[in-house]
Amino acid sequence: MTQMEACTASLDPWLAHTVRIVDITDEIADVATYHLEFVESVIGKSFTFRPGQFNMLYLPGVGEAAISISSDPAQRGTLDHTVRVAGNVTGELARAGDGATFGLRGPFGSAWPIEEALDGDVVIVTGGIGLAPLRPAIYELLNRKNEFRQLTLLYGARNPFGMLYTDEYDGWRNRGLDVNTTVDRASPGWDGNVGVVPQLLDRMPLSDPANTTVMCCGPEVMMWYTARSALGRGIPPERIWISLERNMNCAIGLCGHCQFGPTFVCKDGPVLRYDRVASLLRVEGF
Amino acid sequence: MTESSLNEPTLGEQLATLQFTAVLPEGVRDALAEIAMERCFAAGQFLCRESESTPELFLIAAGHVGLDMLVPGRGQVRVLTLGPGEVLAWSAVVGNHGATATGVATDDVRAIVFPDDALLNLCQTDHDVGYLVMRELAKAISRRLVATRLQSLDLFEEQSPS
Amino acid sequence: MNPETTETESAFLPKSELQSLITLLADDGYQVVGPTIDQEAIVYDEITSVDQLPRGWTDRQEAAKYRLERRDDDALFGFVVGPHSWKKYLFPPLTTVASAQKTESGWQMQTPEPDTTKYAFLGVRACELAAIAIQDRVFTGGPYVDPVYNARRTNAFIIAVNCAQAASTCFCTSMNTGPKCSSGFDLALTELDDGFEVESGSDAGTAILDRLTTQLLTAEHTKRAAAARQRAVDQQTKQLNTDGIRDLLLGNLDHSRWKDVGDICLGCTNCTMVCPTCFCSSVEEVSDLANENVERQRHWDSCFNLSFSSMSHGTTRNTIASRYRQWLTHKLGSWEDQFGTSGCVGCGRCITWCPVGIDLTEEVAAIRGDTAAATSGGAA
Repeated sequence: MTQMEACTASLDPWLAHTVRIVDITDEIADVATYHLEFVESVIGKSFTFRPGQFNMLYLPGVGEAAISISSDPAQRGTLDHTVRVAGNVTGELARAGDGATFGLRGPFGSAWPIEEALDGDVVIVTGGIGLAPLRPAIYELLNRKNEFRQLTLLYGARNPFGMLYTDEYDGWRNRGLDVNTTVDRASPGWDGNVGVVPQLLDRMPLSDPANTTVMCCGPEVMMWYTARSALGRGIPPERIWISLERNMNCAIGLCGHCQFGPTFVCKDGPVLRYDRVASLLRVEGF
Repeated sequence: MTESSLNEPTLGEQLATLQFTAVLPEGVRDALAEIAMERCFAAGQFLCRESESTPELFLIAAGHVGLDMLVPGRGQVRVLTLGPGEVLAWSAVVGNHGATATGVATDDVRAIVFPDDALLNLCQTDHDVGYLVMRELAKAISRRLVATRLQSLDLFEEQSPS
Repeated sequence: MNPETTETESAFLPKSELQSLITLLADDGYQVVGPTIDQEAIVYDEITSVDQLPRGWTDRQEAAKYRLERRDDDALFGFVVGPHSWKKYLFPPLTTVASAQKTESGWQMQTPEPDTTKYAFLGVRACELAAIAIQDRVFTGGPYVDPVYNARRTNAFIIAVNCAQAASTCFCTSMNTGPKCSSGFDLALTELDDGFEVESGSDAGTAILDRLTTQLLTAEHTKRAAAARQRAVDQQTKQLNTDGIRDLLLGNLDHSRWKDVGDICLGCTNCTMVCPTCFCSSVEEVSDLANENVERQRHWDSCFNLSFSSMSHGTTRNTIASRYRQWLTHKLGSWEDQFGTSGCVGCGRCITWCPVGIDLTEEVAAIRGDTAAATSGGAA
């Protein structure tokens, strides 16, 4: 929690800092990564975040959107956010170009359990745009490769055109991440795996399930069945972590929007231990 | 293509580690090992053909098999990829006529093959074995069904902005 | 806030001195807020004179019913609680939390200067003291402190009033929040025919009391005050069984009662507006025509609103039943996990102001399987 206090968020929770778009990378359809820098360099120098945390990107006059940070926490260059157009704020952002300025509040939220996964295997299971909030975790795990054992990525998409960051996979493989991709639907020319990620988790070799940590982000149904597969493989429920998404308005646990039972997804989450929320996940409309 | 097994685990030892047979009692696994044989397929070779009879049940021990269905106008469409521990070509075992997909090796595949007549005979003469084998087959089909349902839910469908 | 002092001062304040209290606080820079009649209800508003208090009026409340009636005496505080609560001032219904301007070097954002308004709340009931304590935890007890609430709360002076009666909708005794005011106030008054038993609850309260012309509190005063407060206890009829209520509600998320109440509930949000602990809000953009000067305005919102749980791919709680369930399971259940207490203080406002008369004590009883209470109909 002290890293959160290092930024101004807890001191002045409604104050947004000005950021500028340095570059925009078009990813897949309707998805782009915005490479941002703080206009005030003193803010940029003191801004730190942990993998899994998010910022509120503020487009004045339009509103805020909660976007996970998708860059490497250790690199001091730009702060990257991979954004899919899904509403007014993200739609307005998609019309912005290099040099445009807007506001940023953060970082907020809980982080992927890097420390809890030490000395064990890590399986990252994700799909579609869910890879974005896990990419910082991948970077950190690879930066600290010696502190973990087998690192595996299971990544699913609707089709081959729905995969993020494809040009990074070989680099990750070279650094020691076993990258496995799959699609729901093959397109002509796809010779990779066809099927859903829980199926990959069902059959991958696990040398030590009791010491394996699963970090999962994607549609709730996907996360539910991934957890089911993980439990079936003998991975303990307290080592399965998911990331939830809810309507977020304040990001500081005060507006009430993002509640999921007792959990404020913005403040207690978005990264949550599976066993702490499992009983509520399948309650319709909760 | 048939190759004799190299200095590798015995069939019984392999069945102990593969998902389809791992939870069966050792005696049942031994009985299955008795009637089974290993077969290898190079990438591109077929294990079974859609609509054709399937005289053998395959349990993948290594490598991956793509399941394709012929859709006129689209050609062979891959609907699923199977890997170690998964079974295919159960049509005849469950009493259906003809495979519902073509199984083609996508890399070097080592499969444990159970001839249907020997497998059904084993199940028929020893109903305890038969019950356990069929239950594992039902579980495998159930897992396949859940996976297929998740695919058809189209969870990553792109949403257009409201 | 208002720390409990080890020494409390008690005295008798003649009725004529109440105006002195109001005037003294106003001269000290406080905006005095108290009960007053508006649109046939007793609401809270800024007052300067005792004459603005609802002298000789009382309230009659039932599920979906509120009306004022003349008393046969001149009591200044002879009623319980109306549609307003003190969150109107501590957690204002509309407030600016930030602003942005487009400058040559890009968008610049600011947050407002801390609010220096000092409010003196006259007439805070025990249930409301509990509600304020609950909202203190919500807005200032977590990792993020709300600056607006914090500023208003720090500067507030609280004059509590002990209830001498109860409405049929009151159930503070079930929630252990009243009717007696025991802490969280600067001064506490119990109204008698000729004046008030007044007790200070803080150094600030004692300081104000010392500047008023008071008389010694006699045994007679004390006896009459105790009797008045006892009337509030005796008149309470409504009850809520809170045994294991958190697990009861969170363990019955599939109960058919949710559908039943969902069929009746209008989703009108009245309950959340009048509830003294409800804290949901939304921040919206208010900009000038050129979109170069923007204010971020926070306004009260409600979990009963459809858009409250909407995301791009759909709305999580898209039935009224699921939204009612959210409200009740939060208020009486998950609030305990979040803040360590119940979210309900037993003030009964949600019952009175529900246009279709939903009574949460009956909803809980129904889920608990206590059909006797559930079939007895609305409040007496």
